[in-house]
Amino acid sequence: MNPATRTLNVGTLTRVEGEGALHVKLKGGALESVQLNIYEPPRFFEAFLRGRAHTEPPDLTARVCGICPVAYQVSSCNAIEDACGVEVDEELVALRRLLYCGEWIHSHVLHIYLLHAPDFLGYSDIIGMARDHAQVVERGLSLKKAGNQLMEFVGGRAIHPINVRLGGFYSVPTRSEFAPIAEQLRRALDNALATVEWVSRFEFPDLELDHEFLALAAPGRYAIENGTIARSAGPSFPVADFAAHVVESQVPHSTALHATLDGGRYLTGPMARFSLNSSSLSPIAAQAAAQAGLSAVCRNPFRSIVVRAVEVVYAIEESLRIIGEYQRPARPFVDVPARAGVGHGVSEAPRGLLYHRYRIGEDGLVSAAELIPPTSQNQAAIEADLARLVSDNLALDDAALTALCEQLIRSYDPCISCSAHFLTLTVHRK
Amino acid sequence: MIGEIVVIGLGNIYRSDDGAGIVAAAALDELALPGVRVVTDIVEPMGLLEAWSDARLAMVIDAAVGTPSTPGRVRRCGLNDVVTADGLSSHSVDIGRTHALGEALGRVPDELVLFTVEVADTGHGTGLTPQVARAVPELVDMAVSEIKRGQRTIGA
Repeated sequence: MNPATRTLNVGTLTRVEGEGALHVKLKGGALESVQLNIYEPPRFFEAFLRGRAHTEPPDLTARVCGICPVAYQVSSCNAIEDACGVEVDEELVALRRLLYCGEWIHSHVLHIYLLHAPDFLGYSDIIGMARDHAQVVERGLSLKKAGNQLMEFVGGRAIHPINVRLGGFYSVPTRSEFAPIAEQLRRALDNALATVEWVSRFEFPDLELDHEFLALAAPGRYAIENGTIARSAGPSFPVADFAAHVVESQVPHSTALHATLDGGRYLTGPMARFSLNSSSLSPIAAQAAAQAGLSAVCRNPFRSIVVRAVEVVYAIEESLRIIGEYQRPARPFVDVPARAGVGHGVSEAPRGLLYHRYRIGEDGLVSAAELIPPTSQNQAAIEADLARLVSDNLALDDAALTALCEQLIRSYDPCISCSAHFLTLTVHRK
Repeated sequence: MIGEIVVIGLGNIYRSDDGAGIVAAAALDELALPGVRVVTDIVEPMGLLEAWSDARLAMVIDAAVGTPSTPGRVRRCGLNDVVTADGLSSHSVDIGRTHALGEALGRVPDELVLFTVEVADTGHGTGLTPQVARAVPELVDMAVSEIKRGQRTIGA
């Protein structure tokens, strides 16, 4: 074997959502190739949505992911309501945002504590970390529970909520019913601030990325449940133009499609959101970010764990604000009668921008569906960052270099289950 | 309630025999045994920790794949008898590793007993196959015996 040839293989990535692998080849002391291999089977969501009633995508697409079902529900509602020309009442949009905050809290805390922190503290998993840092892990579990319970309260259950429907909700709570949840969130805010302080003391490998950022923006607030599309190296564009800018293509080594933004690689997710919207953070979240050493723009992917922690603070503050202003909506939902046409919907899933597009036929059925999740948008950027990281750290032995690569992949909290829904299937018949 | 007995049914009722643990636990719940709590809505590992923390005796009932397979065969086993996967991801956290996490946090029951029933079919759809459905009463009887044994131990 040529000693100058090194191959790093991680057959099954752990502490990520779904099934993926990493293959890095080095030859003659230089990087030859990096492949983030997503081998989770394609799930054909876009195909089986065709022919379904226009009311069904929120429930069906929620099943794409057990971690971020609300993202799928909200993006699909936004898209179909757009197609049908319906505007949802402001109070119902606020309730959607509240439900979404629950998902951000639960998903980010899961990633911070259970999936990513072990990398920074030298543990192979949460179990080893819990043996030495039981109180810290308990704090994480308590915080995650606050997110789960918020989702359960508004959405009917924590995973794949059942209270969401086109135009709003099946039922809406009374103001007084919020009291226990608000109390729990007030306690959670302290834990969230302690989390920011905790992760800010981690040691972060040097890496500055240069990808373009893409995230939603909304006037006067940190965009979550809707917004217009902002980018770091170009003018914003409306949601309806998404497909004109973002183009997906298949690569042989992945069942998830890769995406480009006007032909270039780009990144969506917490770093993009924060870098494009940090001025819209609430005062406590902004202060936490500053104390954690984050400047207005974050370009080191390893620091994304700090950004997520700040976003947890924001989501809790925002939840408390929404609950504080809550008046029971006059109606739980707005009717959304089917109308032939095309609709586009976006929202900020915990892992980044999630785009849905539906075509509704004259018969009220879905005739075409397109779902572009954050992980497939980020794949090219992740591979580019891995190439850069490997090239910068060739002196490390294979085990150390592999561990560093895995840590970087986990920085993006890739949701491989979400990304592997897309496959262009061509059948040749003779 | 500290010192209680908890019965936890795991599985997915929309995947045929995979729902056997939930069906058996629900049957136990109908018996309304005093001092026994039944949980069937576990959807993630942390839910397991929540369910069995502080319990004196926890019984987990789950569907299993045997090699070679004997659908409907019921077994009483311990943690050492189930395969524990290496590594940890949010999509595949098994009982063994969840228990290990619980141990690290001091959140495990005093005693844990597992009951498994081997599956014939875990394809899409509700309802158990006849072989597995026939095993449910046996599973319930074994669990009831275990509960009585546990209650005697707690009483002592």
